[in-house]
Amino acid sequence: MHQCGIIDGPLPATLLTPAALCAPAHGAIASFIGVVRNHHNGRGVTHLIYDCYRPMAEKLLADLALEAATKFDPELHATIHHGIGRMDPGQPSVVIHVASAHRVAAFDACRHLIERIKEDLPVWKQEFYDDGTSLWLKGS
Amino acid sequence: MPEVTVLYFAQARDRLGCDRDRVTLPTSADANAVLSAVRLRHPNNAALIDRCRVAVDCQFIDGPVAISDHSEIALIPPVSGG
Repeated sequence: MHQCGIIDGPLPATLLTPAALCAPAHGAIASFIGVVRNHHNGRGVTHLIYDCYRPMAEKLLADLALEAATKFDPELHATIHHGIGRMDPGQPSVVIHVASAHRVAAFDACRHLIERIKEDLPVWKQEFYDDGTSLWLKGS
Repeated sequence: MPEVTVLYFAQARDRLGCDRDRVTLPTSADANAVLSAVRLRHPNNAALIDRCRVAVDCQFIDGPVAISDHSEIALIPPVSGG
């Protein structure tokens, strides 16, 4: 079934593939991987630090998986993981896999989940720039 | 009236200079009541505080909810995960 969690540091490679996600009735897997960029608003980004209200974030990820199943396909399986702490450009910070009977539900649920994470997940991104300054982002 | 801990994160923690405060709230409080209590502690950061949402026991709240000494309250600045 659903597997969700907050992970210390960049996401390990084992979470980037949807291993063991499918059930025999599933015919599609949609995945989204968010990756740290090396630029933002024309500024060079050296690294990020993600802060998190962990108990709430873990509860919310589990709730979002149930919400996606209710909304798109009661039989879908979702895995959602977000990394926290320091991350460098190119490293994966969030990964979502959705397995469903058909592609439309898989794509729609995957898109829905990343948008809901952007709206509500209590995680905050502090960007560090190549001029030595840093900034907490307000929404993304 | 219950005395509770309010947790601060990210830019709120940096600007308020601490990661939590103890505040007294009524037994039924909405988000505005929580934000008002935090504003009293940090009057120079009212604009930042007013941009935050409030969570009680890991759930966003807007309208009134029951508050006890064991409630965990958090100020949630605009999120930027993903």
